[in-house]
Amino acid sequence: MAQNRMAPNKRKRLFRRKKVCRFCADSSIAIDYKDPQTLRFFTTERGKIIPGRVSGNCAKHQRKLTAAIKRARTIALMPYAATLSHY
Amino acid sequence: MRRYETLYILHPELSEEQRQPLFDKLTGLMSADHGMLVKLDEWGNRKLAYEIKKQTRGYYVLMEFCGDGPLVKEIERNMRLDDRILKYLTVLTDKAVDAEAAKAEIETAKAETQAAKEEKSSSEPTEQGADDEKGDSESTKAGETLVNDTEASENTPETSDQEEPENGPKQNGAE
Repeated sequence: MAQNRMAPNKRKRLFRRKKVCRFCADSSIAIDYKDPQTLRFFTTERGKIIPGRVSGNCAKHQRKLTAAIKRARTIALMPYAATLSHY
Repeated sequence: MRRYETLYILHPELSEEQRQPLFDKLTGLMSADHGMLVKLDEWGNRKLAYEIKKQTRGYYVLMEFCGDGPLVKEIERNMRLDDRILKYLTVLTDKAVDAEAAKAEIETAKAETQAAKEEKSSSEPTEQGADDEKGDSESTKAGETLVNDTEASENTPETSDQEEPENGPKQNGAE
């Protein structure tokens, strides 16, 4: 691991698929707090928001997404913390 | 004038007759404060993501209106006082609205709701007609949801891929 960090460009590069921001790729998906079905893809089963570095969203859309999820939580469309059996 | 939308949750056990006076009261507040109601959309009873005031279900209503700050304050004050409203959320959707444009929109919205009502009432006696008309009006909606579904199915494999690396930090945290 340490060696990998030291020389990331030298061989031993794991193949990783390039992540693309889903909202930049397809402008037809709107980020709306009233649409929990779409927002649900960006939370874990427990209801935590998936970080942009994992989901691949760009910073701009990740910010909007976070705000939308938090709004949806406020009005009980999405859970703050869900039990696993809930889903 | 600004445009806002308020999404609020009513007590699930209210009947339609009990809900109506509440809507009248809210629209009354709007006209008293130089605002106007653009759209009133009743989502109906939905399951809440968490309990509010011991209730697991709630009747969602989305209210779009034009007005200014003091109006929002007044509406929210009334909502806080009212036991029938479990929770509310007001969001600013447009910072500057033409009064005339808003009026035009109100009229189109009214016409739409009236048309929908007429469609329902006219289609009730003849069952075939009802099915056709409903199919027409709902075809666009169905199309939209279908699009969402396909997107969803495309998305799911990716998210499942992405959740794997996410387990790493969690486990580390547990240690």
